[in-house]
Amino acid sequence: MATPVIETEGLTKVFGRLRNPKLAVDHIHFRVEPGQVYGFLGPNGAGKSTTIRMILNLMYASEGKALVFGEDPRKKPEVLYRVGSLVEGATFYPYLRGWDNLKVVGNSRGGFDEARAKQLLQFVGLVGSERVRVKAYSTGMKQRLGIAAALLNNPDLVILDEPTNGMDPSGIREMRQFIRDLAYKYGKTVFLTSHLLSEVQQTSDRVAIVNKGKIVVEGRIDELLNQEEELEVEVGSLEKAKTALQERWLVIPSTVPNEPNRFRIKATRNDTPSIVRRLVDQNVDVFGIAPVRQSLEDYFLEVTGDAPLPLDPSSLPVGAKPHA
Amino acid sequence: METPASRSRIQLNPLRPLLRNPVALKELRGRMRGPRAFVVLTCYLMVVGGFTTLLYIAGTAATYSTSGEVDGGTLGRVLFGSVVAIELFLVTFITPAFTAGSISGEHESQTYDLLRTTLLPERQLVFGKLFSALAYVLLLLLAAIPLQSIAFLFGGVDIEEVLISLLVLLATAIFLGTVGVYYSALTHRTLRANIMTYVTILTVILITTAGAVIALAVAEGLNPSTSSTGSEWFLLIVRGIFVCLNPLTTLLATQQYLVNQQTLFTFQYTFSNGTTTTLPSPWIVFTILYLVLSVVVFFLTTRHLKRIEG
Repeated sequence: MATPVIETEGLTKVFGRLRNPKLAVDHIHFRVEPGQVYGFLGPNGAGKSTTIRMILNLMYASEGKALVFGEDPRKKPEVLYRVGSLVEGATFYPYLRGWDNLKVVGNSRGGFDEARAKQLLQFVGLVGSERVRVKAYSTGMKQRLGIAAALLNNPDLVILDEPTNGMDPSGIREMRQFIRDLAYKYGKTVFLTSHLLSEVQQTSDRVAIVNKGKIVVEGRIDELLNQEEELEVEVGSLEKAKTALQERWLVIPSTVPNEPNRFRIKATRNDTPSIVRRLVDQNVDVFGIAPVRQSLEDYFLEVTGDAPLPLDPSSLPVGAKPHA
Repeated sequence: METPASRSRIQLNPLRPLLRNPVALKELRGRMRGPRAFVVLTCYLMVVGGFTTLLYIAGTAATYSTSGEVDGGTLGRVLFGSVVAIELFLVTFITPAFTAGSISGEHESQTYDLLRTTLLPERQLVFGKLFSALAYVLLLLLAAIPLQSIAFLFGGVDIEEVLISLLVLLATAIFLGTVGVYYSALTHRTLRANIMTYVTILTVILITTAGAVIALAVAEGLNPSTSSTGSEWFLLIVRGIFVCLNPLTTLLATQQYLVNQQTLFTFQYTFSNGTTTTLPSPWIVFTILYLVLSVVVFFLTTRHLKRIEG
């Protein structure tokens, strides 16, 4: 079995130990395998950046440890030479040109490889802008320069903390493509934090959803979203339709105020003909019926909601691991 | 990758490791960009030049009125000493301003993590910050040498004195610079780092000046017939420490021994019982002391930076 690229064991961070202690990260365990795109999801203040800072040895863990390529960066910081990172937004020296900023980063890592820097500028689409001072860059350009800086030393692991923060939709789409290319074209392992769920859903193989410092759920995206299927039905009369269907299927009324005749039922796509037949037999007008696919966003809101979370393992989807 | 050609260039250019320090390079470029560096240099030279002109006018009038002719040697020494004193005053206040924001500024502009994630060694970060600030201070000192050299037109000042003053000013700048970087590493706020640096410097100046004056007064108050050589030695060492911890008193004492004893590296001290002893000149003790203290503060700074955020 390959050594995990990142493995945390009871990683914990408490701020302000003496006065008013705040548990920012609470005994989290997760593993990132080589070649994976691992999404670390959570609302603002959930502990995502703190976790990254502990992995990168920018901050001490109060308890537990984070291993990178099987090594503890506190004892062996050289292991972090195999890591490229973009932490808490791309910040650069505004008075220097993009190229000079890359030089500062490259030289700080022990040597600046001009050929590689040029390749990376091509990769992130900044060719022609490298001679412009960073203060004239848009947020998207800075993020792309941040990606180029993170990749300068040709790392095996790329850690991206909210890489799409402040980017416009086209920038977000480009970033998604960069991340996919990093993993699937260049074989890098990517650890990505975000609160933009569609981005994570489209790029990550595996996710951990973190809330209030704890991992609420962790697993493969396809497994997490492989929930019991639902169908959405729109009819002429809700009451008649409910009477016709509820003896066989569970009917969930719509909560959308201006769509009173739309509801969901717990049923599979294969049940569609039976449902339509039954409604027509009962003289109910059918305007539409379609399977409902749960998005990561729905799932995220479900597990990070203020209400107590369903941590009973039986309530979780197949493959998902509950975290206490 | 380092090629044989690049290795030979390193051997040929001893400054190359220094100039390869990414922080030093970035800082130098940042410092010399825009009008600030040139405005500071111009103002500095205007202040030193203005005072030199005023001192020249006042000095000429004073020596003429007392002796009926201009005493070139006295005028030269007064001009030289005053220019060095002004330079010392300006270096004391300018150097911390350049260094006290060096690391805290990285926190404030959120670029500290950028540097830390590159695994840049702490000593390189501190050295780069210090070197860039001191390079600029050195520029200020070198730019004022022509003003110091006006004294040569009147005589009374040797080239050794100019070199000693430059060395003392440089050692002062190095020490004050490291103190500024230390406080900058200690706090994430530039304003706080500035305040802490200036309070420390002013405290050192006040305590050493007061200590030197008190020790001198006590030594002069000793009764030669009753005092022992041991107590005189003790007071001499105490006074020496205070004098040699303060650049101004160091320069004054060095100048006094240069004029009275015509010695550059040592001076003779005569005890009340008539015995004499030879001691190193204050500027030597001062320079060694300040450079050693600078190294200590430098290591304290790197040690603090090694401590990961708790």
